[in-house]
Amino acid sequence: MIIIEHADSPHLHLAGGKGISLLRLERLYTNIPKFFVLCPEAEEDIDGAAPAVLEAFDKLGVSRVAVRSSASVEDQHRTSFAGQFETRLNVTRDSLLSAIHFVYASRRALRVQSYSEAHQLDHSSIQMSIVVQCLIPGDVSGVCFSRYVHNDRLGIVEACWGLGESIVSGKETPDRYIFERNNTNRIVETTIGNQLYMVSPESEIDYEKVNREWNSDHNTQSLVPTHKRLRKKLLDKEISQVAELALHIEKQENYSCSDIEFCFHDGKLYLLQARPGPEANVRGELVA
Amino acid sequence: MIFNNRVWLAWNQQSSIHLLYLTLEAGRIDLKKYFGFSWPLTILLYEKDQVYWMNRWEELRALGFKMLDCLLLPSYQRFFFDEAFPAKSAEVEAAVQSLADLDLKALSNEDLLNEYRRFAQVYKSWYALGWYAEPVQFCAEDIMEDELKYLRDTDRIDARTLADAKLPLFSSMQTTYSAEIEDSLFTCASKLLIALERAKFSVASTEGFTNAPNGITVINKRDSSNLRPAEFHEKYFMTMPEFEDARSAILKHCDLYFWKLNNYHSTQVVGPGAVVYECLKLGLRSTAPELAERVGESKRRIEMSRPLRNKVYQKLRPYYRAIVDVLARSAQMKDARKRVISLANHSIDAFLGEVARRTNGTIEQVRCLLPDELPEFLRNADSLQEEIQFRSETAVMYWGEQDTAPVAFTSNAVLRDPRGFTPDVSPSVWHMDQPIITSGDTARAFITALNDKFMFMLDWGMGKELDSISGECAYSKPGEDEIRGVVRVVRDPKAAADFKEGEILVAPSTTPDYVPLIRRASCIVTDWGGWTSHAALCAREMDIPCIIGTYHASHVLSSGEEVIIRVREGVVVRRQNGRHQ
Repeated sequence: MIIIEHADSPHLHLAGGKGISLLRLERLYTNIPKFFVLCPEAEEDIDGAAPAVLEAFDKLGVSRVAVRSSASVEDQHRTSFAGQFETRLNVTRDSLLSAIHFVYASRRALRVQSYSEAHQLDHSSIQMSIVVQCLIPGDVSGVCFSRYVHNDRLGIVEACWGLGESIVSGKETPDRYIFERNNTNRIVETTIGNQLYMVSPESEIDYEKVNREWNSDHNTQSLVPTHKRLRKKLLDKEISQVAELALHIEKQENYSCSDIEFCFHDGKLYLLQARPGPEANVRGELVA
Repeated sequence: MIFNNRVWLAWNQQSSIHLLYLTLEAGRIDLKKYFGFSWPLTILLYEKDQVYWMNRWEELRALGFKMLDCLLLPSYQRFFFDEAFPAKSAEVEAAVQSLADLDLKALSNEDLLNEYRRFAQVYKSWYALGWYAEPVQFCAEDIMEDELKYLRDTDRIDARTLADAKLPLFSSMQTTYSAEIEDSLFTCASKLLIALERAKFSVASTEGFTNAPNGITVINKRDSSNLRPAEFHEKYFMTMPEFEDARSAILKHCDLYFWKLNNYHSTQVVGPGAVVYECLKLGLRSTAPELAERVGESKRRIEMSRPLRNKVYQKLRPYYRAIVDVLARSAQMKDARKRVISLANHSIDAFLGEVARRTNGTIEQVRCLLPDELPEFLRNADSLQEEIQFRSETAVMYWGEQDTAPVAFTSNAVLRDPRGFTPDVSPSVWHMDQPIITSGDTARAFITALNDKFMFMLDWGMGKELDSISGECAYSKPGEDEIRGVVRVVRDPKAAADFKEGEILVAPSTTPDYVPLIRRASCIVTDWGGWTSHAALCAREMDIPCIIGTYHASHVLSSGEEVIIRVREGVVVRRQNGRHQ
């Protein structure tokens, strides 16, 4: 069994940090895009696994997916492994297998080795699963921490145009909204970021080129229409909608702080990921 | 707010975001097609319905010099004034007409937007031609000042003659639309008054009576009943045979000038009811023969100034004579421009009104949006509501060919780009393809940052202590060197119906909307404007003294304040020694 589609699968423990939390959340929330998890063993024989993977892809019923890592060590309280492994967006049926292969391979990247060493983890023991998730063409995407590290009464939402990669990569300043935990309708601070580039759901990403040219990721992005650059990305009511969701997950999962990734498409909120948020050991910097 | 007026031109008027955005767009791309340059760095600060449009004088003049060079080539001048402008104007008028025949309500959203884009394209491409007028005038006025000084210093012409000849020299020798509209209105009013007499009606002021919102009542002498102007219009004016003559004159007036109250803020169709009211108001102060006599007055005044103008014109050196010719054509073109803008704004408002209808919103809300946002608004009006609310309070639009916004408002991607500035990559980043817009608190922070960078404005309160303000005299009546009066600051001419006869009109700058007020004013004082500005031209046509270019009279002076104006010197002396109330 190499593909996990439900939380009651006996192989749940193989799904990795992200996979497990998504599978659990799927039973609680309806606004999670459909996905399946590929177990670590598939890495050994990708060609052999291909028919099953493609069948699972067809079952998702969409043309584009996101392929993300889900390592055994990822999304833990102390080690988020944020941005250490590769992610592939806008993956089509044709490019699915190569994308999966690529994400598996990122486990061996030098930066992962040094990150592991820094956190006293055995790099070779990392088990890597893969999440293949329907790509929601988000108009606005973002991250929410249910608790703001500087102040226990507050939480924080960051949002950008297009897909969330612009925030995660740190190249663009997202909008930052600070809300009150016990009254999410109160947005105490709004800072608008000037966003020049966005990863648009339609943009064809030439990963060959990205790999070839250092820092050429601008080529994978499109310019934000000028009139949108300094516009507030989320409405106040949308901010509190996100905040409520993050607070609910925090309570449900018994986290001290929850860290969710979300996006809005056509006014509808989608939950893309949830994990325990950074604790006080992270000094003021929000690690996504 | 006081501007550093040596550096910044700050044009202040009632305007909507949408309509001005279109003109800025025209200056951005289409202007480049005709002259090879686009409009320079522009900052637009909106506070509610007032806009401050800011440009640097240096840049405007530099642009003006380049354009003037082009226009002084006879072949280009011919192309520009005789071919391009009339042809493009005809295109806009045709577009306006074909739009009027179209049933917007029947179109799908997609078709509506397509029609809008097509119209906006025609309008912008025409508007770009009109953009040349201001920069060219600013620099031409500068050049001409030097030449006039030269003529005076070399004793070719005496100072007095020069001062009197200046305005005629810088303006068109043909009557303007404003004058034409005035003439038509006087004709209507005199006909109406004659008819009133014949039909046994009279008009009276109800000022002081609480139940008379319009200030005018029509008395039916047969049964001594009082009629509101609207009642009179509906029950008697439109039906009684006695009014036949006046009716046809007023209907013709509406037909020709229904757009006369349009501006960059809003549009309205002037109907017979409104014109009847205007005429009745004129009838309060003048008799029919008096009004009939005023028809053609401005034309006669222009004719009277012709010999003086010619006298100075003959003394000018050839280069300067050519400039004066360009200025005269510009003045004519500016006048024609006003009419096309008013017409086109009607059409744009028709689109915006239709968008408002489909989204259950108001047209004021839609006027806060940019053209590119209309599709999104039609799809999901909710997503822009917050933005509209912010923008209707404060908004800043910023345009520069290069993205030189303050650092705090520059994208991280640009600031942290590890490649730095490299010519082959950066232009796409560096080039600002459209104006950026911010709203609400962000706009306030943005304008503060811009101010720190450009130093264009100082404190709002500053200047309140000034004892006098000086500008330049654009027109004075012979023999009238000093005017005493009460100031009336007017920003929204449509809301100043109670403007009293003989008050001093103080305004940022005047537009055709101000004409009814100018008619009653004893003197015009504007913050902004040159020899060829609307205020200066109007003053000459209507024989009202006028001080222009005081930069901040409308902020320093306050309504109700008494002042003494030394007209020829262009000085406004405050009688309360700088302290008001």
